[in-house]
Amino acid sequence: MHSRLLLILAVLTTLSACGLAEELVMPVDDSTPAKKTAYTLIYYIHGDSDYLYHDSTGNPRQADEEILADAKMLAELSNTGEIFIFHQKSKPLIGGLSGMLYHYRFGNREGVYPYKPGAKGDAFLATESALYQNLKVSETSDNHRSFFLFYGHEIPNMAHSGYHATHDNLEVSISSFAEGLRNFLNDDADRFELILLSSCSNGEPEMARAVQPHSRAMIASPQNLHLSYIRPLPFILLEPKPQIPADELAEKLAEVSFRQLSRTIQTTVTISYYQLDQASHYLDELSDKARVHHSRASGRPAADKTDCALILPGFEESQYTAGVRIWYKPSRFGRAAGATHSGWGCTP
Amino acid sequence: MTKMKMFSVLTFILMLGVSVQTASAQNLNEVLKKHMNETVQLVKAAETADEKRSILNDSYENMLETVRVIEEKASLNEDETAQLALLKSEITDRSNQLNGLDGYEQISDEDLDDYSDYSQQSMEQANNRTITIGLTTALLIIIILLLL
Repeated sequence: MHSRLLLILAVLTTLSACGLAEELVMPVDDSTPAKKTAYTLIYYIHGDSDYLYHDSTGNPRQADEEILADAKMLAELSNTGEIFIFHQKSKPLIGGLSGMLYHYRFGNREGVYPYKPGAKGDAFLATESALYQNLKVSETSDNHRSFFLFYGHEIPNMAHSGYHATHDNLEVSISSFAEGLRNFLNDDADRFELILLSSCSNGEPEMARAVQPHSRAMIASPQNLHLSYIRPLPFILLEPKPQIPADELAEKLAEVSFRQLSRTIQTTVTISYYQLDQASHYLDELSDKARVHHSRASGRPAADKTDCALILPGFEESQYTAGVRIWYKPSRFGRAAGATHSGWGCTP
Repeated sequence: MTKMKMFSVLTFILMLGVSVQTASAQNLNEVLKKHMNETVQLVKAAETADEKRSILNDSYENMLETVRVIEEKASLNEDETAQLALLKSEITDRSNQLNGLDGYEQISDEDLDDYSDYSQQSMEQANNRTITIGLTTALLIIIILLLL
């Protein structure tokens, strides 16, 4: 109990700096935990590659370990949620067990499970979704909500070797990711309320089209995102406000990280929020245009994505920005960028 | 060779051996990130703008030299070759902006610390660049980054 209070204080201090503390009325009685799960958070934290970065004083940081610490802290603070944290590490245990699942319910750690991603030839996220389906509790509240959080490098359009340092055969692509997401859901009608993609350049038409059947909304960066990432702390708002609208929660997530990144990062900072159902009427068309442009531009090295509005022929800003909100700060250095951003990233 | 000289050489080789073991367990990007971090700390500690410029220019030149070594020595697949070309182009671009070349305005004296941060942070994004280098190439890179 004492350690939980300390954790709550730590989160409050952080959120207070971001102007969110006034909205928090933390639950004070955890002696009678809820009988049913109000919400589920599923984290996939990829660490099986190069995730080194340095803070402003030059100290080395491992991005995946930092997010893992955030995720565990939030899981311990939760009184009503069930939390699954999948961490794929770069140093496997004996037998290639590079995955580690931390399972929490109502703030208690239910178990820690080492596993081998892609065991028995499983596709990307298939081992994780099978573990999830085995362990999740069936008693959920009527208004139960599900969220998926991905932390890692850019999920590429086409699978290529080297995404995982230790499991090279496990193909990662937009389509394998979308298929993997589906396996966490109960049926085809079931959808996540929000998915957060804390990776470079996945705020793109093809990703939005691929995940739209499985999620109502998405947060992602349409360009490069620094490894200090989109932090998950605002999910704590699900405790005092279990029915906080997804739009409001998403905006808090984007605002808090945008403010933190803008303070410390000199490169471009872009975070987009996509209400996928509002965008669904143009996703096919926009995605096709991006794909055609990409195939014509093939032959260039793996260039960073840029604003679709700047490079995509026939991009109508008024037509393709419904349901999209962007937080954008151009870089101080490098080639001059636009003063605004459409929210969509395309390969030049 | 005197005993002292012999001792110095052996110590140097031993130290390189340790560095190479570390380098060979990482990809090239990770090695360069560590190098860039050291550069940024040196730039911020330098007292004059001239020193800061010189440190940055040396760092870019050393990184470009490592790229040239890898192009010659390493056996890269198609993805890695594309990534290496992109890396080379990005380092050249940073160097050009620092020195006001290729259409850029030169970075002003008061912006040099921020520009070193920018150079570092642009290498530390959540894109995925994995260029695997062999032991011999890693040894050469360590020498270039440490000694040039």
